[in-house]
Amino acid sequence: MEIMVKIKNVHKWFGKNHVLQGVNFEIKKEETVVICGPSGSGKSTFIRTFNGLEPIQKGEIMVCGYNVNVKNKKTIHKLRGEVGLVFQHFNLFPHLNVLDNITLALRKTKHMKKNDAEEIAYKFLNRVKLAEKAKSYPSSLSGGQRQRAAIIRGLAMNPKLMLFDEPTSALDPELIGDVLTLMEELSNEGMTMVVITHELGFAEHVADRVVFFNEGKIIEEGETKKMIHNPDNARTREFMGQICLK
Amino acid sequence: MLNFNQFILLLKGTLLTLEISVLGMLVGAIIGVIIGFLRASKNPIIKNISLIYVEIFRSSPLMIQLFIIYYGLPILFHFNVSPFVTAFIAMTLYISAYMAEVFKSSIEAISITQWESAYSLGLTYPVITMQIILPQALKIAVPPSIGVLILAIKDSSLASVIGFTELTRMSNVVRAQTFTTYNVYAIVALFYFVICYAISSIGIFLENKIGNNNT
Repeated sequence: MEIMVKIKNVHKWFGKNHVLQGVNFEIKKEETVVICGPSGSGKSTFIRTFNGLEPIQKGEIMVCGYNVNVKNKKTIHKLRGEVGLVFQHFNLFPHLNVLDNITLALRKTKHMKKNDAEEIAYKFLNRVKLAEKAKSYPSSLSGGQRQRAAIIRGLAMNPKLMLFDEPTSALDPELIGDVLTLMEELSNEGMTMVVITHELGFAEHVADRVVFFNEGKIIEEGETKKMIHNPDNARTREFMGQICLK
Repeated sequence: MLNFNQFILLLKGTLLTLEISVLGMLVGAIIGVIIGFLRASKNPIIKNISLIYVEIFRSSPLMIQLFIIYYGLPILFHFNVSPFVTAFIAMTLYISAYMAEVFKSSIEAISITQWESAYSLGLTYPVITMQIILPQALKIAVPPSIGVLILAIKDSSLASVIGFTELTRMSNVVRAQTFTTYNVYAIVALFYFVICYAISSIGIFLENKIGNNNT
């Protein structure tokens, strides 16, 4: 299988804070990988290096065939058009309605005509049952609707890789289901996905692999069931135990 | 009291006051947006050069700037400027410095996550600036801009010193005709008040309108 992401010995410092301490990681096409770990462990910073949002000081990042650490703006913009990133707090554009939120990048990054872009947008809006909200502003949507809108904003770009940074952490418990269902569908359709989440139920269902992050390093990774129920590392076991208790 | 002709003179002065303030505000705001984006830049050189611009025009009295332009340009460049042009240049530069700071803080008030999600969609800096940041910054900038406009209208009275016959200068003309100081200045103060109060009311109206639209 084609390798979508290959990361070698990545280091990053925020001032004196060594947030990524030599991380190696790989993901194949159509794989779904869940990353978990305590807050502040660097997992969020880590996936933000995939599309160059966080520059690194040392190491190598290849994503979808692009060398991310090369400071070539054109390459980075092209890469970003092929990698979707979904944030914890949705980050929709509040001054644009849902339709324009989705079509802006189609028109500006992919240089599509307005009609073509809107056709694609409606295809995805229908899929997540938000078509009647197309002309609504994000502020009038529920959290779950906002996150689904944010996800299809990324999907509409026809990405090769989708990154999710705690997509359900900011949602009320009863709104999480719709978002997880959508992500599960995507995974089943063969989307390559990296998901930071503590929803172990989702992970067990969907992930091919689980990666455990601690203090800027991947300290254990492996097959999902083993990682959740019977990890080798003591720190991993402690963390998984605490999450399962919740 | 004032006769009809004198009243008309004061109205003419009012019109010029409005003209110079609104013109200065329009051009000053456009320059201010650009300087504001430079002020919000992460590049320290761009940031500091734009700060120097702001400090030059904000930290010297408008009246001195008017004198420098009015008397300085002919000496330096053998280039005579009318009181109107002088007032326009000085007001524009003065307002642009204040508006730059208004826009700078409006731009910085927009969450970094807006930049991040825009960059993540492959959008370029010019597109993000024009389509994402500017529209949101303009909304935030409305209330403080109204304040700057009111300031500009009152400060435009300083242009009377170089012979620009706006409302304050005109009130001197009328006073010379009537020999009644107190009445004229009270009426002129009322004129200024009405204009500024009207602008302030429009500002509050706009603020509510924007606030209701979306947050």
